[in-house]
Amino acid sequence: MRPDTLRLLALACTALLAACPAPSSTLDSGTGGGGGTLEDGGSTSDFGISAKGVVRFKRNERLTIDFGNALGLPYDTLCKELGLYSCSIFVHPLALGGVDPYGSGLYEPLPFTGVTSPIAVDRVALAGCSQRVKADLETPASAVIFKGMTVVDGKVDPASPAAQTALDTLYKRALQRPPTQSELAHLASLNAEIVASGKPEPGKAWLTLSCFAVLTSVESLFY
Amino acid sequence: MRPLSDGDFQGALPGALRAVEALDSDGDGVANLAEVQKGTLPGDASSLPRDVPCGAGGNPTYSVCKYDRRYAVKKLVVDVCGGSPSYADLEVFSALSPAAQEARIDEVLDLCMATEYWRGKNGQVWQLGHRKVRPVGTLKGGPEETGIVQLGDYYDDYALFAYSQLDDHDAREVLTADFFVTRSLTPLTTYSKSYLIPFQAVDLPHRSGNLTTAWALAYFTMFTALPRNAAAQAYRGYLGLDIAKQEGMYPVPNEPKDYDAKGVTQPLCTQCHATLDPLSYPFRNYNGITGSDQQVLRFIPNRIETFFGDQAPAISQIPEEGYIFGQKVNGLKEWAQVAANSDAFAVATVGDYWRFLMGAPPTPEQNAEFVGLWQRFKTTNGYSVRKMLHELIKTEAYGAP
Repeated sequence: MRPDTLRLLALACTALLAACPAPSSTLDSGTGGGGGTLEDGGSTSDFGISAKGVVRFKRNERLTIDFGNALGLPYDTLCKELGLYSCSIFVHPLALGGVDPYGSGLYEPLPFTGVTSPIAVDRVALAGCSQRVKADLETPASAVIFKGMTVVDGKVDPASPAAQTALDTLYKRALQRPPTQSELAHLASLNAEIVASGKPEPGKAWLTLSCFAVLTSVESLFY
Repeated sequence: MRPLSDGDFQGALPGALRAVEALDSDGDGVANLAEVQKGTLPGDASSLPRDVPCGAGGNPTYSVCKYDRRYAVKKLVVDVCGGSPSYADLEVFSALSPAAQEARIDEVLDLCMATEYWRGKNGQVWQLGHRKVRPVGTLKGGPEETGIVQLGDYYDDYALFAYSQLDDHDAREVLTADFFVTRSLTPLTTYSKSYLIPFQAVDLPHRSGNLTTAWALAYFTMFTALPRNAAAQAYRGYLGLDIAKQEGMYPVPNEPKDYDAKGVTQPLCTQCHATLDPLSYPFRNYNGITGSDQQVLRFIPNRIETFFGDQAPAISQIPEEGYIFGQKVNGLKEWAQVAANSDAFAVATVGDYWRFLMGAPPTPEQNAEFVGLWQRFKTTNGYSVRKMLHELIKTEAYGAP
């Protein structure tokens, strides 16, 4: 893949945002809006089964755009191998469903995801989430997702208003819907496990892994 | 070698199929005919229809199995703009009336088709050209990404392909254009007609779109006398017919003649070459990279006689007239016209976008919508990919979760 691709992705995003209506107060007043939310307490077994819907892997370019937009990070710094080369565009494009027409004559993406695809997805998501959490905690004034977080003894209270707001923002930016109560409960239990492990900086780890969990969910990777 | 002649085979085939319709050849509990009608494989027990009641049970967030505008617009933005819409944008969309949502879906498609992700170098339209252009980085000429052995600048081919697919241009021009296309960034990519660009040497009266570019002649014709590969690649790339897979076979009586003494009159060879050789004759005077710098990549009258006369006794008898789809044509420009006006071209072009947006060829259940799309692409939509896409995204196949 060529350097043009990163330019192309940057311009794609610019044009899209310019074209769409400006964010409005509906951002905070929505009630879920039918955005694919499982009603709390409901069971997926009650849901209608689609014989028509097609679910597809987003592939490297769309994942780069969606992860970058969700995390508020430039596409070319989202994840870099050796600090130099874009993970999703230059180093792991084929594992992420990309093509290599000029070099190896791969004109179309492979029809399946390979054994290394999840590893590459994890690599990109973790790199991006780590950057976002680090930047938001170190420069709270310009925080994008994790705003106003209070870290006490290395820990973050998942029930605090700031944490709840951050998770709400994370879900809306990554999955275009608010989190459900059960999803928030799962992330709270993740925090408890991390704290119990005794590892240093459990609060930072929880924020990073919460972000990682959302970005690597089926709902995030497929459409 | 087939045990039956073409005529005997075609005559016996309906009866043979009827005889096995009611059988269950793979023992999966579904009759062969039912499997064919559902698009599954009657010879593979693991492939059988999923007769799931569609949408039974309801869904609070999606209109399952029916066209769902919120689902469709989100998918559309991901497909054509390259990234998901924002939560705020989706909320705004959801608040619109159904009629306004319909209109907004069309607006979003047009906005997305104006992005670099769609129309730029290495964008989605460009990527649909890969199988047609078949680039090779080490052989690339031209000023960008120059290769080690510079045979031709295939970015010119991509530019014409993209031009033909964008801005309501006639998609057939990819095969019939007598012009080239330049690409510029202002800052978004624009494509413009040009009748003179560097390294393109075929004279105007003999140009035929991407069939006669420097790259096509250098890479597909190269040193060969009778450019069978060039013809087969055009047939495969632009018409979706792969002769190597026995697709698009229109054997011409008394062919192949084997003018170049390659032994293609052997029975095993004729089943393809009775179609392929007459398909190739109109390419005879388009030179690849044989001869001097003043002769390469050009239309050379009497090219066979000039360069290849000593290769076979009858080689100079290769005619310029040939056949495509069983129809006689007097040269490559006529070949291209017949190809571009064919159903195969419309099916292949619409099929490219169908696979891009659906991830797979049409299923038997989707076939009626697909047929309607390519038929209107030829007629009411005037070979405009943009107009066709506006219809495609409104199909149930695209918008039903």
